[in-house]
Amino acid sequence: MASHRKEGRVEGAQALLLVQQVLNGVQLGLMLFLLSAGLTLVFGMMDFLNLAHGTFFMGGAFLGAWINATTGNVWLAIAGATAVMLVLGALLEVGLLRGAYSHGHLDQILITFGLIYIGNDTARMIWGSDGLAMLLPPSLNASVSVLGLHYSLFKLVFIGATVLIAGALAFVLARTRIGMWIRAGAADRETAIALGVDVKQLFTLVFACGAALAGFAGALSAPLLSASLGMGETILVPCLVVIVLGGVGSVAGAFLASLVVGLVDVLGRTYATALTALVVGPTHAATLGPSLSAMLIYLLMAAVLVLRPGGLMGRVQP
Amino acid sequence: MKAMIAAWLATASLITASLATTDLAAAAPAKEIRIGMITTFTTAVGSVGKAARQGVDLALKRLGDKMDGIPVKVFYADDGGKPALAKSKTDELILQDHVDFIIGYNFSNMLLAAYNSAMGAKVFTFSLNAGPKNIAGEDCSPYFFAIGHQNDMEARGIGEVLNRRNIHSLYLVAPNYAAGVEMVNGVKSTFKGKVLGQSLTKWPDQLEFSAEISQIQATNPEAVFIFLTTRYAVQFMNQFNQAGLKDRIPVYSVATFDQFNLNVVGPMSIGSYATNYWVQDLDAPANKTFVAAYKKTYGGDVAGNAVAGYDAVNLIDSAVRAVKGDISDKAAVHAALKKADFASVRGRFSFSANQFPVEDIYLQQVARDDKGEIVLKTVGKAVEQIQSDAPTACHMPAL
Amino acid sequence: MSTRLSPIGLVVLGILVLVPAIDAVAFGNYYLMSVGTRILIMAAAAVSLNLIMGYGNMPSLAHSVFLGVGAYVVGACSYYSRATGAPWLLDGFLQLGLVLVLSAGAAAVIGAICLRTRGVYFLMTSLALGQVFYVLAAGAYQFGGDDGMALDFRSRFPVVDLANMPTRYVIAVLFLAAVIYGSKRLVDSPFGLALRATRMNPRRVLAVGNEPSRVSLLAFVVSGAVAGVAGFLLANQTDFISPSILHWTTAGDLMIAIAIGGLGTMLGPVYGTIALLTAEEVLSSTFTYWQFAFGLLIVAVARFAPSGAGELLRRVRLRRA
Repeated sequence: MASHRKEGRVEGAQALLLVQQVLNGVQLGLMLFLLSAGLTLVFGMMDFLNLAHGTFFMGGAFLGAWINATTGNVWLAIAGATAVMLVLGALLEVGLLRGAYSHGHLDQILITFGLIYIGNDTARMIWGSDGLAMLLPPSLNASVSVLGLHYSLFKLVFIGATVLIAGALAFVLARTRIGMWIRAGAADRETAIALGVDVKQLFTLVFACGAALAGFAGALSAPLLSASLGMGETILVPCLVVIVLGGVGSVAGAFLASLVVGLVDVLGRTYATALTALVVGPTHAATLGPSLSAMLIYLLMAAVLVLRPGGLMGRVQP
Repeated sequence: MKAMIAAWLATASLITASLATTDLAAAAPAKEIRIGMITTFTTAVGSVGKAARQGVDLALKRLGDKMDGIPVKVFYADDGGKPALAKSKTDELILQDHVDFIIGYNFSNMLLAAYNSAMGAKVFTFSLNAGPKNIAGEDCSPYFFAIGHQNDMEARGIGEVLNRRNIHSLYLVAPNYAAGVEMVNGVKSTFKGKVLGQSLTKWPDQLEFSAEISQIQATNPEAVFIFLTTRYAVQFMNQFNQAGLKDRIPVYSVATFDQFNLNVVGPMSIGSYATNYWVQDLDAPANKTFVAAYKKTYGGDVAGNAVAGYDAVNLIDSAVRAVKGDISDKAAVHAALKKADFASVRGRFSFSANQFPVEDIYLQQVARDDKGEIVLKTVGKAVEQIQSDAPTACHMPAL
Repeated sequence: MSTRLSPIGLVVLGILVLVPAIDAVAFGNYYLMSVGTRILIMAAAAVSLNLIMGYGNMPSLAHSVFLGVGAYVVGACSYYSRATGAPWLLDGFLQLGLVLVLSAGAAAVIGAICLRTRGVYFLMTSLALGQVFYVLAAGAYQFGGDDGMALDFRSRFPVVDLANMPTRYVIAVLFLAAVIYGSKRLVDSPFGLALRATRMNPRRVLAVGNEPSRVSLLAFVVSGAVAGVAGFLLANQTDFISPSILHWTTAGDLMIAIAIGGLGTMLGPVYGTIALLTAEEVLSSTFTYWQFAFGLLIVAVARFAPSGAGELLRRVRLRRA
């Protein structure tokens, strides 16, 4: 009897862990989506690969943490960081990048790669190399428990806010005139121009909004991740995986792929070692498991691209 | 085209011919002691290099930039956090600046990249922080001295502390790279309780720690061990707090909290433990001089990485004085270095046979001091006179 | 795109190559030679990447893998030779053979998968597959895992002693010359024409009878094998192996070097690599904020010399003429 009850408890705990990890995966996926949405639109519309997109994320995190430390207001910090990144994105597009759309991908990679270096060292000049923490007020820095499940309140706020943004984005893209132009531009630039869409201003708008979304993601993530140099590059590769996996130019695809990558990453980290142990025994699994989980999203991407070369929801390639 | 090939071949043979006769060894510079200092001065871990340099500069200033009356010149080099640069900058120090001693290396991968260059050139090298197991063991060299520690010394200290405190179950988190595995194994080698689980996190691109923290929640250990540097420390502690675990499960750490991230990670880590080979309030005369001088020169609390830089310079000074400035006699210099005949700020300090430190490890706790500042407060000794656990594997080659 | 091998470019390169040698012979200063060896080997790797990227439209971030295979063969042989006491493992020709077989094999597998996609999708697929190899190397604890491993033994050849730095330099010079010459011959050959044609119009190549993916795959394998040899030399030069060589950023650096020097030109990648790695060495020992300066430099080149600095020079010359 007693052992039965114990087993039941263990199973219950395992189920709770799974629920928690799924929530974690969704939260990570949503963070990736905030970054990928802008990246995939910019790439789809302007055929411009912006490697410095992660730098906006870092900028948002630093600004958010800094404004929060100065004013003590989390919401002001997030809004401020987003606004600054919006302006910065617009300035960068008009001043530097606009002239590079006609260049090849390689030159675009080069320019934006240089911007990563510049961004990192600029942050180092302003805030030093140790990073900044973004401390939450006690009201947010708590955990809620539902049915024995403890979960961070702020993470729930994070999920809620991101879902709202995703919804708003979907509405703008599907139901407004600007959204229609953007979709038209992403699908077929030449036709959009022929139909009289002012693509120049549209590009600036989309690029700036992408930067703002990344900045928003950075500021919103700063309480979880803190702000640090190089955090933009760490997040960039998963974002590239997301946009390619989802199909370049497709926001819906990016949404789907973000959730897939987030879940695969978190669940892989949770269960890879235990699953590996079933095959190679616990001694080898201790180090092999983490290695396998690190490979998972790459294997997943390679597999999807081989089966569907245009990504999950992308057009079939020309 | 053919002419071009011929020209290239001619060039190549010319170089070969002219070089075959030259000798690689350069003449030792006279009347000057040249020290190369190489570590990471830039990137997100730049503060560590800056602090190490403060230690070196402070010690030299106290010596009047002279050792046994001979002027000292320091050449600084940045490895930029890249193994390839660590190697080529070490080559630059050896081949271009002709340094007599090399101080540096915060990270094991930088040290390992440069190791053969420095050992091959027979330049005495003092590692400030990196102390990988293989160099303590089978790859040991008479030209290599570890000033800080062997990587896992503090971790072994943690195991002893946990045993004394009757903690019976533990969960471990460290990055999945060599030093991370060394730390985890270090704790396990001394800890007598039950290890409920461990997470070796992705390196360096772990995005966040929710999966690991949920596992800690699920296994519910009596304590958690972490080895997570810089921003990873901040991210972990942040999420650990928000999951409501901080007041339930104590955190024991190595190389996680330091002077640089304490103002960032401190508020969310109060009560957490750390082990270190040096503490600021350590009661040794040399330490009091050092701390006072540091505070006067740089203001504020001592950054731990300055300690090894300071000690390394004083160790070199003791050897230079012992050989009366004749540093060309490598055997004599080596014999003097091995004695460690200098006042370490750590108090009791010596080298074991593999030229790694024998030293005390202290237990500290993150706390607020009288002024409300967050500091690492010394609780006591974790373990006395710990030494490298690999000396038997080291068959020290002749000089 | 150009397959021209500029005589002036070759002469300037020859002079550049002599500088470290003169510095060593005349002034006893061997630092330039030590750095120069690494730069020339990386330049050869850049030429091999340019072969598929510039002439075959295959921007591959998996190029790091082949460099890594070459380096890890040297490392593994050194490790197992010490562990088992078997000196035959150190035989340079055996190691070179292994490098060629393994790097060509890896390239065949990676290429076959990546070539199902094109453009940016190709780039990302190669990144993904490359990272799988990176993770494998970082998890190889017997070779030091993520830390890497200092070599116990370099490769051994009869007569030629790789422990001697000038010897390594001369070998690097000859290797680079051979790679430049070989890729020139290759792009000028009928095979090279077919390869270049896949870049212009894959359909037409198909109509003429060369299946594009087969031509592309063969080029990918050749390029991978050359990179493997570069990795072999690199490990012997640095006396050290590390998974960082397999990280996609190594290939990323090569791409940047190619972009700076001029994509799809014969000597551009060489000059680009020399410029990039020299800038890294010089700037890092001059400025605290060297990465800022470095970033500005790259942005300036890409923004104002979109076809590489070499193209810019050529345009200036044309205007003067």
